[in-house]
Amino acid sequence: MINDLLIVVVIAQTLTAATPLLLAGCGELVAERGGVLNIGIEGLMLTGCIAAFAVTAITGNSWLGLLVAMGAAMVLGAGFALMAITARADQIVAGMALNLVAVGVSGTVWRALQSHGVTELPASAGFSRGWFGWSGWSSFNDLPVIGPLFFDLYGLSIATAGLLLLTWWVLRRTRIGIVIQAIGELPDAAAAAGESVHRWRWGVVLFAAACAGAAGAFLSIMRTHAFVPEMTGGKGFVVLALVMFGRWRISWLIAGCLLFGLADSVQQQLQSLPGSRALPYQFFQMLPYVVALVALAGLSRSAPGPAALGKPWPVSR
Amino acid sequence: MWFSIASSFLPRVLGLALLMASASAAEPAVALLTTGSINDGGWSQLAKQGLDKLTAAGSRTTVVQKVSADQAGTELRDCAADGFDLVIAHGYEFLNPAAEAAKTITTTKFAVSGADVERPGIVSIDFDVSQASYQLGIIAGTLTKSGKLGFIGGGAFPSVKACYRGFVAGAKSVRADVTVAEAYTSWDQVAQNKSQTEAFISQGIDQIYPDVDAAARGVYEAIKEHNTANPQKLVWTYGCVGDANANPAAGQWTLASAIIRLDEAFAHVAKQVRDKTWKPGIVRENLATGTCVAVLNPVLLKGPIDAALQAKITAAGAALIAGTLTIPDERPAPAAPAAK
Repeated sequence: MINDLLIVVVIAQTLTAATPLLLAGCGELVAERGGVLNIGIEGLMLTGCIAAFAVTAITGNSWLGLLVAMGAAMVLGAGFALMAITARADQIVAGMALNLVAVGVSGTVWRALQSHGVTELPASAGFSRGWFGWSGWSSFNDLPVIGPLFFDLYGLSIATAGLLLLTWWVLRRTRIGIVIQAIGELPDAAAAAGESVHRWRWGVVLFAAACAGAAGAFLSIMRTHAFVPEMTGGKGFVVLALVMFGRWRISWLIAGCLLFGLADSVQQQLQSLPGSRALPYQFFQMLPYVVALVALAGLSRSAPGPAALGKPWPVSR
Repeated sequence: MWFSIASSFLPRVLGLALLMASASAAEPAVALLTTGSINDGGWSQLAKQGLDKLTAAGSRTTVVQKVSADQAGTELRDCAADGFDLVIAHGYEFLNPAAEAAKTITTTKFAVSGADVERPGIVSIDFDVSQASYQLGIIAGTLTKSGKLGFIGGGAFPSVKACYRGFVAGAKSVRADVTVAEAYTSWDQVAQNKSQTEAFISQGIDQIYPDVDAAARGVYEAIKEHNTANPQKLVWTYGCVGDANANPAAGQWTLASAIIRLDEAFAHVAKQVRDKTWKPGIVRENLATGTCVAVLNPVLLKGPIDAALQAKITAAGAALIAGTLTIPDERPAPAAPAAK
């Protein structure tokens, strides 16, 4: 059957692997365009993982789990905003603190869940494939090519595509987009024009946190139906690199994430080929990172980031 | 940071006080160092459960978790200073730090579990799961329809490669033309392991043996998704280190598990310390010692694992224990066998 062809399988896996990167990357890109560098994205994703898992496991309600994941990440994001924007602390230091807090909190919550015997999602909980598990689509899953590449995708993969399109449109075509870019490039000018730089920056940070929380929820209650400590495995840092190497543009971010997902999917197929053991397995594991970053660095022309990226505002008080 | 320091320091102070209060206790005081969190659902959690058995037997115990190789030297010395008779450093990464500590500390015994290399002054506990994996390979070689098998490891450590070698040898012993694909992923990335399993399944592999610790959940999820959608093309799986036969995701398709009874291994070394029969060297834990064994899924004994297959597995086990059947081993032989 055509749906069993390697190319179809690889493309479907690419879209799945790229989803959490695209989702978190979309939020981080907006935050950085607004002048805020949040390197705590990994911690926010991890928070989303454990919050979604805990709520879904306890209540059996996956939608509630998704919402709480976004909410929990936004709470941590607010803590970051309080330090980095309101208190004007160093954004790198605040982001690192966020990562450390998230590892500690997620581990503690996981321990508490274990001690109460909550280590699994209820059988009917957690999102399954095919548009949030909606049974109406399942009859289309076997359609040639379009079945596995569209109808059998995870719901958040489709939602992410919509979010990216919407974000591109907002950044390019709306006043909101213009203001976000203004506070990332010339916050003094934006303030002179009557915009509240702090309020806008809080907004982009919370948006980025919500996206990262949803990306974490994707990993725990949608893709794997499980939680393992530190299960994000550095995806948040990959997102940071892809946003920067993608020149803070949605199109390049999409290209980078898809390339990363494709290389990851291909290396998994390559590892199992006869003769592949002639190379150390670490070679295959590093392929996605090398391919995506080299391609983006090579293809994209060098471009400076937003002029006020990472700088507290006002510069002096 | 203060919380971290306090959480590692306070138990030791309390433990030392308890030790002084019960100096005449016969059971040795045992400290456990783990690389991961004791709630990781895998390697470190199993070790903690093994330590709990020693606690129940009357030993004073403590656990120091998430210790990196560069921190290990300090932690080992701290445990010795706190009066522990035995420190079990649970992970291959601790081999050199433990050997270094043993050069200067003679009052405390050091054992490194999961190591297969001899170092002066310490005991290396080598868990040889290759024999139990051989028995799993017999099942896979017998039940595969496609003749394609898969092995996923969290990393290419010697203990993981031993599982792979055993699995391959067992499968080929019953069906010489099987192929075994080999891939290495991660110990904690569940999604990565799910993707690798999906890649295997897309290549027609119908028997998958994961040795990836708690991240095996990704393997089981992929198999559940596939088998639910394709009941006519079932993919079967196995467990490694821990007993995964009743895992909630794919227990009904998990044929058997090659398990390590860490509690028994730890009890063996603790007994040596208690009886003063401690002797540095390599302790081989395997099928013969009853520590590394294959456990068949009881639910499937009247299904795919029929009486004839069970007889084959039992016969292979007896031959492995008797030494009439051996698995090719790439590792150098130990300099001197250690007494148990």
